[in-house]
Amino acid sequence: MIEIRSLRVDYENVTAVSDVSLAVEPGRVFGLVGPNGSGKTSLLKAIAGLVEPTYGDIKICGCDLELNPREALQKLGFMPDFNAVYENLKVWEYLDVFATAYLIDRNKRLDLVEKWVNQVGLGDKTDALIHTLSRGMRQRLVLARTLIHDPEVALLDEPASGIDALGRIEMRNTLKEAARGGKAIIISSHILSELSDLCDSAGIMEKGRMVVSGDMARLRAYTGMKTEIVVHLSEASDETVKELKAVLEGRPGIGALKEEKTGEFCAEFSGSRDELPGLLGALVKEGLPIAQFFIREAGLEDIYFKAGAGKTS
Amino acid sequence: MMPLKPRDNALFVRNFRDRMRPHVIGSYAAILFVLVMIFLLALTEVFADTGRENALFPLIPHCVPARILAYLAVFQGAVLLVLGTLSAYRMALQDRLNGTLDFFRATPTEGLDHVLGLVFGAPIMEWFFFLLLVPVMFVLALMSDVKVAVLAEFYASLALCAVFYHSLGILAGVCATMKKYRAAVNILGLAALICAGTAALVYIRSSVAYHGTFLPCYTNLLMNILDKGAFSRPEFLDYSVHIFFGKPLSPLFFQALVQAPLCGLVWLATKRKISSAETPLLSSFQLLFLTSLILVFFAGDSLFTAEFRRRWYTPQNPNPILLIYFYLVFFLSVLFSIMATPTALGYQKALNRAAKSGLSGPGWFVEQNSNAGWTILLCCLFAAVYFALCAPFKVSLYIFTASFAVLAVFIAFFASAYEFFKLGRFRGKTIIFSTAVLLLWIALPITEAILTSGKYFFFFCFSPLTMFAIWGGMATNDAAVNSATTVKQLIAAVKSSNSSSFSEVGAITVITGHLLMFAAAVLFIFLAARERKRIRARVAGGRELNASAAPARSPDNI
Repeated sequence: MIEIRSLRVDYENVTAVSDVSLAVEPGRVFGLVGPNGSGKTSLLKAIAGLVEPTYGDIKICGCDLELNPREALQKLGFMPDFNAVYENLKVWEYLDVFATAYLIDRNKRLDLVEKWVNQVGLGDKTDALIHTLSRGMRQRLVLARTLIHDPEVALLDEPASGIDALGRIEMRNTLKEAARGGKAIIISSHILSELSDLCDSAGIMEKGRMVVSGDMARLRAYTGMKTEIVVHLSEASDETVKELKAVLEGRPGIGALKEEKTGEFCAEFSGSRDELPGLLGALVKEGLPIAQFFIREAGLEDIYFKAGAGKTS
Repeated sequence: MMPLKPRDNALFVRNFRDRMRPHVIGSYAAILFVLVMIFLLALTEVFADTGRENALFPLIPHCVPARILAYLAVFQGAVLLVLGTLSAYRMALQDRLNGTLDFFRATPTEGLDHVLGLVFGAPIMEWFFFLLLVPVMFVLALMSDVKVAVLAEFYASLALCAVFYHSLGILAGVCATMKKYRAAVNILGLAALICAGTAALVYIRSSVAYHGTFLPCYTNLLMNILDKGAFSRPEFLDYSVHIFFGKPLSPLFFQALVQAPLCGLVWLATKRKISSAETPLLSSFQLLFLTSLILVFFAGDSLFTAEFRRRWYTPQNPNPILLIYFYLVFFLSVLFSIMATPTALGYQKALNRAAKSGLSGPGWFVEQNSNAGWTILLCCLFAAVYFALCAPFKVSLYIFTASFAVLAVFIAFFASAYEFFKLGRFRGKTIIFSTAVLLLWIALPITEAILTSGKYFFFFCFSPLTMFAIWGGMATNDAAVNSATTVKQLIAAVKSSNSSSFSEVGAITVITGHLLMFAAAVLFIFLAARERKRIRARVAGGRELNASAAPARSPDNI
């Protein structure tokens, strides 16, 4: 896990990070949000040992980064916000070089390289020279480089920039799987919708300070926006609406049904997400013509603006 | 360590794969082969003209293989030293500017492995082509009666020199923090400066400067080859250039003595620059080692240079060794201060590091600490070497003490003033400091001398450039002053001194000037200490805040 206590990072005449404390448990994904210059990259660089903090402690899986840097860095993978790669190396060679840098045994390197090349969807490009790859492919290659030594902590700075939709989905799945595997992940991104889907918790930085942070449920509650179920009927006759009300209203955790526009109904929802499949099943069982069924809740964008970060960016 | 396990050194592997692709090697090998063939054919044509009279190097047919060997040796040197260094610089610069070096910084690989991977990996192709010609050279050596041992020594010497030059190239590359063209211009300027300085020192027969270059590699080999022809060894080369502290050394050993410690320091500097771009090139300890090394070189070399000059040029001309020593050590102390004096932020971090290790403050000789301790240590070192150098010139203890005190005051003034300005809060401090120093040391003395037509020299007393000339000259040349055994005799000798010194500037002016400089040095020592105290108080305040901060927690501060 990552533990940061009262971290401050100064450059000459500028305080980039001021009094930031946080901890990310294994298996959790923490999203770091904030306008340009808010200190996200400096925070990540300090955790990666690239910038010496002025004050504060950073512990990676219990190892103090300042006192035991080698041990701490062995447990850490860092993906910076630029995808610097060696243009003249092949994809497998590039990953092999970094597997070597992470002191992985020579006999295991090639297997690992093969595993990660496939994992990030570059299986058919293993022998391609890097300068022939697109920007998105390079980004995925750098992600593979970050995770190749199976770090317990991963720091990703803008990992999705320049990646197409499919690439983003693949990257999200890779990261979710990594988190399921017990990695603690800190991810910074400008694409807030991406983070909403991926993160268990998030923090909003502003002028070097962590303005708001918390797990996603609490952050959503912080916005004051309610979570709603939205049902869109393809055929909204009086009879179907009546049936819909009959199924939904009166169930625990579901409020009164309101018609937003023709055929689109919503109801406040305070139950667990685990109940949703059962609920949809019940609606379908009643033979209702369901065109859409989804949850509407506060996203990171709403939290971001609520925290006021957007106004000053 | 990379030399033992090159396949486990990431940067070596990266460079090897990048530069040793079969098609690239094939193309370069073809170009090399064609070049060598053209070269040899051209030489054959030249050698065919054996009947030429008044040729620069009269040719003897049986010497042809030796001549080819000589030219190929030069060709190999050009490939390894020139192209190799350029490649080392280019690869390191590329890694620094595109940010890939940062990736390696965030890995648990040892810093020295990074350096070795770059030093031996970046110029790998040049090493390959160099090695390709080695068997040919040994065959030519056998054909031309050049001893294999001579050729082997040449290769050992060339390899040592190549590693040193490549290391310099790598260091230049990793230090670049700006745009490529700016970096190139800066590095070319620096290289030109180093080359010009070294060439000047070699020209005045500095044996250390000579052994810091590639020249020792070739001297022995070429002299062996030329001796076989009608060309005889120049007389000055018969007088060995391999003398250090008056003792002849083996050329290879001497070269290793000069280049190996410098190479080690270059590696350390590279390691530090890879680990953090903001770190100064060398720590205070390493700078002290470098300073000691330069002083040892200077002492060993100056004795040789003196002997050489006495023997070959001007036996009667007194040696300006002490004068040069003053300028050298002052230059070193200025350099030391600039490199080792911390910024306010650096000092703050040093205080925090110490606190984290449970210490009340950073030790005197810890990196990024005040330069006060180092200045004292440096002055002691300068004094010891100065004392040793004064002995052959029979400098009196009075003059030794007085002249060294003047030197120490100037060093203390610069170090403390620089520290005060660097730790200070005010804006434009670098400009204020450098302008003040330039005015005081150069502009005011010159202006005063011009405006008063050389009648007054008050401002000369504030400039180390003029004062060192006076004191150094007196210590070296003024027999009357140095033979004084009492203060009374000394004052009388100083008054009548003719070494462009006190008699012109005036003893009262000199003493007043020195007292003012001393007062200024004390003032800046006090001001620098006050700045340090201010920063310590601020850090202590910050630490108290930290101690009262909540422990690391799961993110939740709504």
